[in-house]
Amino acid sequence: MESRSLVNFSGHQYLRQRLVLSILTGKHVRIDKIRSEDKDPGLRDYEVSLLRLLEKVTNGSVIEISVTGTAVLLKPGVVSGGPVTHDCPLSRSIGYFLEPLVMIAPFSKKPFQLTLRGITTDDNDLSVDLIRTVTLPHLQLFGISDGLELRIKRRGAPPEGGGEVQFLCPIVKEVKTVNFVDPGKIKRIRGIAHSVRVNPQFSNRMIDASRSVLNRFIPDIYLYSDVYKGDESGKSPGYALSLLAESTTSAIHCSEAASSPGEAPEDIALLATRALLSEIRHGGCVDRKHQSLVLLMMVLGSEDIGQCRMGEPSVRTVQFLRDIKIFFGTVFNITPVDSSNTELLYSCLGTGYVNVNRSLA
Amino acid sequence: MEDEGDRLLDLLQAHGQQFLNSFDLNQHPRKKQKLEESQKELENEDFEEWGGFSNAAVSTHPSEENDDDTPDEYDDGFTASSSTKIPDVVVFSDSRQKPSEQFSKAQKKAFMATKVTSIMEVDRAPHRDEDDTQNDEDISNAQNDALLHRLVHTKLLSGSLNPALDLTHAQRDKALSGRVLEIAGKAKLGKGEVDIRAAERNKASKRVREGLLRKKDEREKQQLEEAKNLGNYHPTLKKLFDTSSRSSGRQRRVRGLGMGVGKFSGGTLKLSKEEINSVTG
Repeated sequence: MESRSLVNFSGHQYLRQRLVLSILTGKHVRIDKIRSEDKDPGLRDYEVSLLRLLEKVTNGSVIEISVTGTAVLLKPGVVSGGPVTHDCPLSRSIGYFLEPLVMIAPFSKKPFQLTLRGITTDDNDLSVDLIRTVTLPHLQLFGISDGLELRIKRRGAPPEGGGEVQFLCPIVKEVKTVNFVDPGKIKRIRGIAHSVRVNPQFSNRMIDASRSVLNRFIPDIYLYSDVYKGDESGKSPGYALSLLAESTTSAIHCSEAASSPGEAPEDIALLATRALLSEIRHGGCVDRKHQSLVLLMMVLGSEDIGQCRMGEPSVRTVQFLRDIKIFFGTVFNITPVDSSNTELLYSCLGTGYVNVNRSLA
Repeated sequence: MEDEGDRLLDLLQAHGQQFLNSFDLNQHPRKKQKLEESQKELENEDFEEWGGFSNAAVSTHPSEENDDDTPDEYDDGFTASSSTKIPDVVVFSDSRQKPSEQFSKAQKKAFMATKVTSIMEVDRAPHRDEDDTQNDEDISNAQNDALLHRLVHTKLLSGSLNPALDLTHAQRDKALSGRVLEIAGKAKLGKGEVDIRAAERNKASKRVREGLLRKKDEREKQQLEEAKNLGNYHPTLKKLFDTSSRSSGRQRRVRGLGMGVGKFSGGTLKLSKEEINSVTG
């Protein structure tokens, strides 16, 4: 008899967030009908790799995958952390694997020393630059700061990859309650333009094109041209631009664009810049890509009302809120800030989650 | 949403009016009046569909209000006169500002750091305190060295006055004269006595002089050997054991008639700022 509850889901979407919630709550989760009607049914290689990675990072978790791969059962163990190395497949970038780990890393037994190899910058997921400069600072809001590092040892562009990053995360006992209701005004814009195995002028061209749009808004813009040479530049050529805008209350909005064959760097830069401007227009204290992370941390906070002001939830966020209700039983109170704005105020009662795994030695 | 629609309609209306006004319309003054009238009305009302140029349904009734855009019976109102419409000029300034100097090296390093805490502390204004203190330290070290050198040779080892040295009167005399020379600046620090003794040596006859020099060389060679044997010698200390005395290229002899101020060459008298100031006071 199952003393723990079993949660059932179907479909391959939102797989990562469901696995993360399962690990954090300890509830078994069963996901079936994964691409059952597809030409290639079942789990993809990167999803299997993610499950392997979660197995490495936790202790005592049991993962059962059906014969056809269309169903998976996860009985989560304890997040142990420590030094872990994983080679990510070349079908998804490292960001795909790092995002769920950022959510569980603060609650592990030992501090994470995770080395991931694979593609560092991609169109589909957050690049490592944005994770370092945007995602990890969001953790600082919740009191996780000392010893939080992301070292980019090598860069790797698709399709061949060859990148390597090292993620170090401290462990915390519990997460602070956040009360982030003032988005402030954008005071500066920073960016990282990098190019590997192509003409180094490409970064400069991207920076010029981006500046041509952004200069008329605020004076404090600095776009950094990141140079990696030789071995550290990976196996394939590529270039990308990541932008972030910081406000007076340290709310961060970000955007990025990566190269694809045949596109000019100026086009990439304009794409990223316009995406940043539309992200800023969306408003709020947290941008759309990081809504899930912030909402999760609010739920895990101490037993107090936490508040955060954000724009409208993306589709992923909406599903995440539903899943939180299933796993934690917490419901968010979402009210509009005022009638003229599209921004919403999200508030919830934290569950008082305490990291019981941490080794007290 | 309706406000939005109305606003857009007004914009369209205004644009249309502007377009029409760009044409110089030859008109009967009465029609012109009506034109103005109807224009005003049209500005106030919602935009009505314009029936086209061929709509010659021109009524001369001044009271008729729901008129279309005034069609002219005789011509379509289009004349080749110069358009009174001024083209809209939109300036997109591509002003390139130079990268903000506030983004100092320290901030750059902090932004690209691997530690997340330093990324968020970029706010600190670039302080140059470290550079300044470094400079101050360097300066004070050099100053201290010079001071020490001066003290050692002037106060700390007063060769003539120390009773423990058991100097004879002659030796004391020479030491004192040497110190006086040093103070006067005629001799280098520490070499005052050497100069005095060299001067005395020069007073002697040739044989005595040469004998003394030979003895001096021998003595110094022996000292060098002893130092090497004892392990006190290092190639960097060569100058200490150097026997040959060379005058450090006596400071250049002043040439020409030093007529007080400035330097005269090539037909011109060249004056420096200090010289001018010294004259003008």
